[in-house]
Amino acid sequence: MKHAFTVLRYTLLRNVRDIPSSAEMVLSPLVLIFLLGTVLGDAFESRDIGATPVTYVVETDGPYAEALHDFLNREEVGRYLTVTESQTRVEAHRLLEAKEVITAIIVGAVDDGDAQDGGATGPAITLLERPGSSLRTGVVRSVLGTFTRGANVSYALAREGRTGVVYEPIPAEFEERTLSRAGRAPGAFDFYAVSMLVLFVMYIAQYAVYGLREDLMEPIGDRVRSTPIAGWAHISGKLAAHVVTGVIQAAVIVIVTSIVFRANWGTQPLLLVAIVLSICIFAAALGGLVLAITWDGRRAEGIISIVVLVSMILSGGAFQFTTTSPSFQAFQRLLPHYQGQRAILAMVYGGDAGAIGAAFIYFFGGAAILFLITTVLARRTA
Amino acid sequence: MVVRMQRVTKRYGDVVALDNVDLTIERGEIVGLLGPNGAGKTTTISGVYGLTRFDAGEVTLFGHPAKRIDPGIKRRMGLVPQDIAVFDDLTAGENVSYFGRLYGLSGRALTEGVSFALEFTGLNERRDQRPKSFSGGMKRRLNIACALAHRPELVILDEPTVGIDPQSRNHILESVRALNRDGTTVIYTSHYMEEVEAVCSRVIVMDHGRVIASGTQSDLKALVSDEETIDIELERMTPRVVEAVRSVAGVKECLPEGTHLRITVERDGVRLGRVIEKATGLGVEVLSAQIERPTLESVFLSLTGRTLRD
Ligand SMILES: Nc1ncnc2c1ncn2[C@@H]1O[C@H](COP(=O)(O)OP(=O)(O)O)[C@@H](O)[C@H]1O
Ligand SMILES: [Mg+2]
Repeated sequence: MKHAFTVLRYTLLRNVRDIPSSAEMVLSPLVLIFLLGTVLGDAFESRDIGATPVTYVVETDGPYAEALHDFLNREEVGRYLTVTESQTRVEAHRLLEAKEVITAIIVGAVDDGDAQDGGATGPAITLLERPGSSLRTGVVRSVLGTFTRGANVSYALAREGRTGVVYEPIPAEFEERTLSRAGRAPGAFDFYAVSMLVLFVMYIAQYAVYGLREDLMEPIGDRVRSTPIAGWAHISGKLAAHVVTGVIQAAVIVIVTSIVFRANWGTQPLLLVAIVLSICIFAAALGGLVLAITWDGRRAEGIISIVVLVSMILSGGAFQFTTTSPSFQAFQRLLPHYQGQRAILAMVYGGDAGAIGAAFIYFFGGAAILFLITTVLARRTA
Repeated sequence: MVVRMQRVTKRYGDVVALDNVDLTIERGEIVGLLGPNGAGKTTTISGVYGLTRFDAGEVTLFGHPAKRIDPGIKRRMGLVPQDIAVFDDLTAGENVSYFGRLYGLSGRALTEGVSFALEFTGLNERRDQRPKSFSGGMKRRLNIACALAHRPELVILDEPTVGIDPQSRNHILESVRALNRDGTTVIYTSHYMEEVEAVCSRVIVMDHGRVIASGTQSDLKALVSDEETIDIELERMTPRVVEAVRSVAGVKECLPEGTHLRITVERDGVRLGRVIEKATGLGVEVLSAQIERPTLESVFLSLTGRTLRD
């Protein structure tokens, strides 16, 4: 422990002396945030979802039509949709063409007369969309999907003979979208500040490799191994120094982006530090592991730079995308950037608190496993 | 016994770095490990430290098996690696102090150890400067200082004088002798036979991963006492001259080295005049000629047929 602290202390001392390269390290994410925020800023305006104006026409009656009417006028739905009712299709078309609404929801009776026995087949829903606003119609669809699924359940229960079942929206369905909840949607700078911060912190893995490479491999490595210090103490001291440096650098990035780009970092600085710290520890351990496996500093640095970049892109850190494939979503959850971004965004935008807990488990647990493997591997000698 | 290696073998793929090496180092000795580049000196040393795993053989350190060297044993040794192993962004004092701490020093023992190591290597005035500004010789001295703060009983120096000025070299050689006078056991590797000759009480000669001779300097020189070396400098070197000299009766070996010919002959068996005649007979003028007493160089030459710098 004393030895680990000695290593930490002297490594920090060396990092402090090396301020120019520290400054350079911090500068590059700042430049990236600026570039991405500026270049892709427009793409984000449409992401400021707010409430999407829609109109609806109900051309049929029965329990379904009524329920839909109630549903669309619920308070929760109002956060996502600004709803007006049209009396006819023609009126709805006019609103659509006048760009007053983005989507028209048309609930019509099913044309084929054969299935009409008391709404058993249900009415047909048609969405009329204005071109070029697929994202917003996506919101409408997802809100309607929630309704239809609920309605189907109600319908099935009703068929079982239960009556008086009222459709209640399931709140969880909405939480999926809280990241861009109306009125507090993040702009480009807010988003890229988060994704670039996570990217930067993940690059701690790279600096950890650089630092460890120098100390574990020849010639200093031979000298260190000839001293009585235990392998784990040396590695943990070394990694801890890079974690401390990383957290300080991350703090600089947070402060600069909130001043210069007015990026939103939320109101819980301690929680932010804790999340960043957990990612730093994970990244440092990842760097240690890759070096211990390859035992070749340059190769390790190369592998990490690719892994970190790919993980960022697949996590939607470079440009956001939504995927519906469950297996891909499951895969994303394994990515450090995904966990990091989700946790910070959840913290800043008041989203799912579970995301933060999950990230802590992911990062601390992952780091412990990586570190364990690293110390075992690093013992080996040529 | 401080170090004992028995039938140690180490391979790197097809290369046999150590081939059945046996050696022992006694307390208080100052042993030279002499051999050309690639002889296996560094591999031997790494083995002593447990930095390299051997394919076969046994190593004991201070009587303990070296497979699992415990911290207590490590504290009794100091390693000066062949390549300079100091941090450029720490001052000389901080470097020595850092490694002193890793060796377990703290408080007063640390302060005193650091002062001793810096003083000993003549770096006290440079204590607060970083090695970036140091000359090659000063860096080498710092490299040594980092292994001394904890006052080890056994110091191993791996080619500590490579690429430095004569003044620093003399300083280092003198320091090594002083260490030994204070009771420290020293292993000193080098491919400079002059250094080993100047410093060591006992010499182990290595080549191609094997110990080819071992003993005091006079033991080794006795090995070649029936030989002497003639060095002649020619106006130019031609293969025919080499051939002609080789054919002289009593000449055991004849190696061209630039415009010099190093000739190993049976003691008193060959007249120098006879050799010179051969060269001039082929139209090559002899600029100088010298009969040398046996040196470690000639020991090596006679044992391997090569010079140390081959
Ligand atoms: N890590 C290694 N991988 C492959 N070959 C090596 C390695 N280390 C040393 N060798 C080989 O082992 C032999 C002995 O090397 P070394 O002990 O460094 O010699 P010396 O120190 O006497 O110059 C050389 O042929 C060298 O090429
Ligand atoms: Mg060597």
